[in-house]
Amino acid sequence: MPVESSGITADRLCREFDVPVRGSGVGEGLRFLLNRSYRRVTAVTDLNFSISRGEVVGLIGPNGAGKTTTMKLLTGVLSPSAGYVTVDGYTPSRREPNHLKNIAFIRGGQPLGSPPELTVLDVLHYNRILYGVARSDFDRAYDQLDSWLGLRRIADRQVRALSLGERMRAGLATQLVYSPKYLFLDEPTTGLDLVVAASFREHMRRYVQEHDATVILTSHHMADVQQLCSRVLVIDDGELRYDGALSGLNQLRSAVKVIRAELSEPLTGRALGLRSFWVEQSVARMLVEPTDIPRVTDLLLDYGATDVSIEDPPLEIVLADLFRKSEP
Amino acid sequence: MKLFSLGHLVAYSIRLSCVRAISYRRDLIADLALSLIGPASALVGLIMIFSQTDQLGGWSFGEALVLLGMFHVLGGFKAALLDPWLGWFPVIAVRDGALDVFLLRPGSPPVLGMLALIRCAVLVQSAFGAVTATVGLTAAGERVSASSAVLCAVALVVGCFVMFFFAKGLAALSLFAASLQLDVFFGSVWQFGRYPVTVYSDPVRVVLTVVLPVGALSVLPAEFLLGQFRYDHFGISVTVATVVMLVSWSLWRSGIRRYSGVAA
Amino acid sequence: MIRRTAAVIVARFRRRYYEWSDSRWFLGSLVANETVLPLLGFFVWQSLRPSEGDVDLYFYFLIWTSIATASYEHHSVSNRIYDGSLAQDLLVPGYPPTLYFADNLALRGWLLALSAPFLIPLGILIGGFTFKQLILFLPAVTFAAVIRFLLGWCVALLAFWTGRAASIAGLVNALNFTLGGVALPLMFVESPWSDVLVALPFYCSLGLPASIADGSGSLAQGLQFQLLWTIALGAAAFLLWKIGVRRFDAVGG
Repeated sequence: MPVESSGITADRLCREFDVPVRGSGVGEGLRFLLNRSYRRVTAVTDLNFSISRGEVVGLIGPNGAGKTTTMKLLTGVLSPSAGYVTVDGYTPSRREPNHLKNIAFIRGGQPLGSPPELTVLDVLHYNRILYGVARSDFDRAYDQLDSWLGLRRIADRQVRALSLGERMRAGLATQLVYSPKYLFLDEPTTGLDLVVAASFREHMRRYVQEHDATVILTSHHMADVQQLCSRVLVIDDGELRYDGALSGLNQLRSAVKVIRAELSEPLTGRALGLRSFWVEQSVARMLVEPTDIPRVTDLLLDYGATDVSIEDPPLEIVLADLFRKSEP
Repeated sequence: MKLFSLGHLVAYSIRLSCVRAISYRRDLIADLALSLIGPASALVGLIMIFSQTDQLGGWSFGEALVLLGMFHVLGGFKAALLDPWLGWFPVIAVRDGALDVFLLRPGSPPVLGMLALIRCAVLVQSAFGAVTATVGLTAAGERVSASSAVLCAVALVVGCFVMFFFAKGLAALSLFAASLQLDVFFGSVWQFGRYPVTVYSDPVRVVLTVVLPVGALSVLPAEFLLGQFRYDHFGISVTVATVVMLVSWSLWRSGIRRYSGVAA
Repeated sequence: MIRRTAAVIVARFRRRYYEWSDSRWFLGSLVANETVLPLLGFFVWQSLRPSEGDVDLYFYFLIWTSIATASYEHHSVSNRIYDGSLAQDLLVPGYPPTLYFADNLALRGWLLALSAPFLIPLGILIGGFTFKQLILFLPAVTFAAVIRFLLGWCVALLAFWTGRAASIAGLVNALNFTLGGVALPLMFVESPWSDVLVALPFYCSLGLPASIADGSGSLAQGLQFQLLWTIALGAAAFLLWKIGVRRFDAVGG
């Protein structure tokens, strides 16, 4: 039974895994067959946060940071090794039916979880019965999803014959048809082109508004986070590094700036003594510490660069810099 | 899940399975043909054995046919519902992580998984079994009373439950050792059920009745159908069914707790 | 060319060796699976003919044969055809089926290594066979291994045309059981049935080596049939692969 609390709470959340390890060589293979060795790996540790009902929060971090593990802990696919989570007052790992009818876990590039021979409409009807959706509610949701996703155009198509974008739309429809109040979106725009990804964000924005839904989103595409989330949780190496408004990430910029310059001759980062340096159509951008700006601009002018300007770095760069600093 | 919505879901799943079956003609023909050729070859095997003897473990040819019939009636249930799921579970569900999807659906993951993969066409094997049993009854010169028929039906239902929970328990084991693929093993143990359990030596008989009970499931309905009211056998079966259910339930529970998903 | 193919087979064998060192439960379940049907036959015939000592010996060698000829291509290869990952194998320089042949050797190697510590003492306990019988067993079981691999391989390739390759493989297993000398050893079958059974691929890949080892079968006649089936199934495997890959190409996997 749920306790009296809406929203999502994570309290000292930890999850560890035992992963098998083996040396190389024939003898090691035989030894491994008889007696395995394991190493304990900590995927997430001591996560504390709470998310209010109706909030849209981005969960960001580099590969292997623990984002997917966190999402699985929040949805109840995994049980915590220590600490606890509540979602709308339920403990997710108990997987109570009333809780499951309230959440959707949408993963980019993930199959629909239904036999490929079925049509999209078959899958939708199956979910209608599975989630106990009244016929009138289903019809209403179907019409709405059709206006968002153009559902009728793909409803009679077999799942196996859908393109990636269509499969995403079908996947989204099958998950939204029972109107879940909590959405867990794990890299939802993976593999989608820019137009389809933009339309996905638009659908999500409208869904959240109309259903007062709570959303946690992980994405490597900063556009997803910037357009949907008012707040972000930055996670790295299993630990929470930042919890606050997206704009607040600027405080973490640690005074890194981007210098932009138009080159008149080929130039490398090494010549300027810089690691982060990239050129696109003779326009160079480089990441520079503020104290180093005078030296670098002088050098650029010596090399004949024109139109030199100093910019705030985009969010991707801020995060890359943040994560690089956290490396040992 | 409420009984009504479960019934609704079962009906819809069967409907979808039929739609899938008829949309792949070649697979449908393969299903139907294989469901008949397999049991037919078992029948040939039995005839060959009886060319060498007039009784097998105390059972006459007619009685052994009834037993083989019950073996195929239950085998149809196994092939339609359990086999597709048991083959899918360790590889796609556990190793590739598709179990995540089923864990987040409101309902029992094994039941939902089986319903999603159910293959109705192979139920023709059960029909073949029923015909074999009828021929066996005629050969044995037995007439079936109403009470025998009811008891046989009850025993078949108990058998289906035992098989379901046994399959669930086997699947749960692959949550502990992801490389464990027990559908083939289940199929092999199952083969023991085609002959009377009295053929086997005492220790094997105990193993087939108590430890791996799917090996002796066809005996009880066959006995009832032949008018042999062995209530001690019925008692053992119900006890074993209860134990299998409890063991499988606790294995599944702790297996799911251990389950760690692929992208963890 | 031959040297390169051999090198590829060795490399693939090593890869699978390491891969399966992580799968003791899986290998254990396969050993159990290969053992269970010969055991079933053994129990039946021990009950029907308890006084005949040859039954023990026949089924003992049948277990060895079953393990040494184990083939699961209907799982591994047909799944790669279904999910399209076969495309990766087609990009490997050389003849792709050799990769699966190496997989098969690695698997049998593991299964034999795992079961030998149980089967060798059991053989000593049963006794009653000569060194010569053992030597005669070897060529027969080698041919049997090739035939069972080719048969399994042909069935696996049916996955190019139907989604039911695993079911067809189940049927072949049922036929192996019924007609391969497992449910009914040939020593208990009278002519003309025995003449038919001995000529079938099922018997050539299972019962034949065991009957040669226990002294009831004829090596010369058996090897003739085995050779014929090796050629016939080898040709079928070659053709099925060729036509199947063309189809895979046409439908995009």
